[in-house]
Amino acid sequence: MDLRFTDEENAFREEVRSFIRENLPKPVHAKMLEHRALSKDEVVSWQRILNARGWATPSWPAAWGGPGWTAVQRYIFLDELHQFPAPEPVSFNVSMIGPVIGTFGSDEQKARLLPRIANLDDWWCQGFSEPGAGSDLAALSTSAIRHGDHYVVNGTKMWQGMGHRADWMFTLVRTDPAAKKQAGISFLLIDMKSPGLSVQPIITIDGRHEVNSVFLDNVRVPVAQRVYLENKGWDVAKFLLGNERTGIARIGMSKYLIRRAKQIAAQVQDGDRTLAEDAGFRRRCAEIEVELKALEITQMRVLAAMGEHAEKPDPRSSILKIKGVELRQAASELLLRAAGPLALAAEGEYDPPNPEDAPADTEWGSTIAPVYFILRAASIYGGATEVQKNILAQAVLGLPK
Amino acid sequence: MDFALTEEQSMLRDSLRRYVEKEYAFEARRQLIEQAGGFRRAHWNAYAEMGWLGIGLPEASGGFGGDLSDSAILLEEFGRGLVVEPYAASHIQASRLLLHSGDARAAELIEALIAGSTLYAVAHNEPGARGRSLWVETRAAATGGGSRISGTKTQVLAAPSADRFLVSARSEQGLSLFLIDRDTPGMSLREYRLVDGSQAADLSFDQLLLPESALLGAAGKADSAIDLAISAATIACCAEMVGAMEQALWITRDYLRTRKQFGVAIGSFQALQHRMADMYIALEQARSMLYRGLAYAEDGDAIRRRGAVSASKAQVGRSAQYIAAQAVQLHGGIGLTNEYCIGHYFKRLLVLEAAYGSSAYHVGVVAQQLRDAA
Repeated sequence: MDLRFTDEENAFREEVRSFIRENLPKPVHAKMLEHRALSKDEVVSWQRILNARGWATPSWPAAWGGPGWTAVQRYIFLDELHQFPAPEPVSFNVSMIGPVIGTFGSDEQKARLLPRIANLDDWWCQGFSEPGAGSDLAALSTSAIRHGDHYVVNGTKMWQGMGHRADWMFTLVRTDPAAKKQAGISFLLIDMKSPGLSVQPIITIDGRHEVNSVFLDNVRVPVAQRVYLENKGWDVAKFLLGNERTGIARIGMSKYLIRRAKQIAAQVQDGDRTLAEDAGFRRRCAEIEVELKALEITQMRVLAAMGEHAEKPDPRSSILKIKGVELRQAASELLLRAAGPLALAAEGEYDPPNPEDAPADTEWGSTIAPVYFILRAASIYGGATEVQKNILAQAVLGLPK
Repeated sequence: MDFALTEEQSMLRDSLRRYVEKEYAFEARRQLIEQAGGFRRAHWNAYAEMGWLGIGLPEASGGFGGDLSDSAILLEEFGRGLVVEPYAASHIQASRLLLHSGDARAAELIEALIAGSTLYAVAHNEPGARGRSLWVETRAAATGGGSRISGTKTQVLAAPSADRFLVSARSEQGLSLFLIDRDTPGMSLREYRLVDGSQAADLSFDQLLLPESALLGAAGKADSAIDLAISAATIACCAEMVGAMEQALWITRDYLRTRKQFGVAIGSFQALQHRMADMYIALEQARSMLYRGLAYAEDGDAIRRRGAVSASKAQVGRSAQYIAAQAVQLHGGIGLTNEYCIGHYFKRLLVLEAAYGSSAYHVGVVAQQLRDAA
């Protein structure tokens, strides 16, 4: 057993940190520090800076054009991005569709798509959930009927994160209505410019526009845009969702939320002293930080047990999803507590008109509640906490289905 | 990072498990507590024969080398089987006190400890300490050549069976350690059992006169040895807790698979499945913090070491409280009976959670370090 980072790993962390410091555009960093929304151009240009360095696709093996990092390197890289904080590479591209193409795609699909996915030449969104298929994803009803070399797709997809920015959508559709639930599903890649496809915004409780509904009305999709076998799309979906779980602890993000909470607590008045002097506040910080340290090791253990680029996700990765989200939510509550009444002004009401300007001390408050609000979604998407607990109880602990 | 056990470590674990399953089976353990007072010297001698008292100790003193992570394997198995003899206190803590004492006799004393011929009890804890590692109100005063000590030590584990005591006391020079034989006149022991069946005693000294030879290491220079020994013992205690809570979890899982109500195994109910999932997460978080603690338990940087040890004990203690309580809850009525094992895990974990400072105390240490760092 060897429980510390090696000298090489520490050097790698330093290398990543200085790269971010030297290359992340200042306005993007300023927005990230304040939890402000980024423009599409900002996200694309940062991903291309990372890609030029070969770092846009941390989880990809060298054969796909990735850096071929170990699990520990991947963890360190994301941890540094999250703590800085800098944007992580668009996860729909590099953590979801990329590994799917690399694992299940044809040689032609790999050669054509992987470089574009990495460079964000195509922005991808996920078309899984439907109005009637949330946690019970296999209940999806969007139909794809084959006509020669095309499928004709009809249905409604929901919760397309950044769907309004996307060029392509990877989606689950029902190709065999007669088969049992999971058996009749296929995995299709759909061009967002296809005739018959329309996108409608969904404004979430944080007041922002990130997610959408996508309506598919007789959309023609070439058969060549199917990934893997017809009616075997569920295997692909399980693989993708397993990957989503593993990457999702996002410990560095919690660390940054706590750091910001502490910075604010050291500035704000709380009676006759600053909030940072409050024993209850410090104790809550300590509780969350202890759990985060534990989760950091738990993540290493799960990754070490899974081996590199395993096709079958370890069901224990559900711990990372459940606990990672719980702690991010707890950290956002701490941030909210630190800001107190300053967090209650609606976003944009109290802010300087030009979001590029550095905010004055009293204006940071209005981007905090949106963080707290939208983090409620994290225990719902990517397999709700309750679904993850079912997985742990049944697949790990062997309790009856 | 590498979390896998070596082949030697796996073999050690297997032989420990076999021994513990045999010697501490439910009825045997009950007799050990009720008839032998919670400590059997024959067990201790067996540990010595098996080489288990040499784990993690220097080869120069007759030990087998390795470090605390090897000891953690033993302690996990002891925790799993509810072994009541206090290995963490009598062995880990005592051996570290000797090792770090700087005393010329240390190697010889450790040799006797490894052979099992001297059983130590560490008389350091005091009523006002509540986890504070260097809280000592027992006084030592130099008296031409020797020392006189006065004060009270509480919950000294294994004291009723020990051959010798390692006693801490404070003088104007600072903290010192004294080596006191059991039959030293003038020392009084009040013996009792703890709720988990383990044995302890309170020791009191009233102007107890000790010869010069009783001083271990230099006078007033024992702070660092005491602190290092407590760090090691605290993490050892965490290992024992992880073993105990893991076993409690699997016993509960087995019960949920067999116990039927409403015509089905109760483990098929989602409310109970989710509770088990939460217990499992708590267990894995505790195990992670045990590993992290092992990486820092013998770190020479005292601030870093204390922070890491406190973070570990805080997490392990909180996880233990949750798992123990829910293990009883999921068993229902049977969980409350003395004739069933789960309640004994509950009680053992309670005692270990309090040992070397409760999780509530250690969260406070982490919070204080955050303040100091700010």
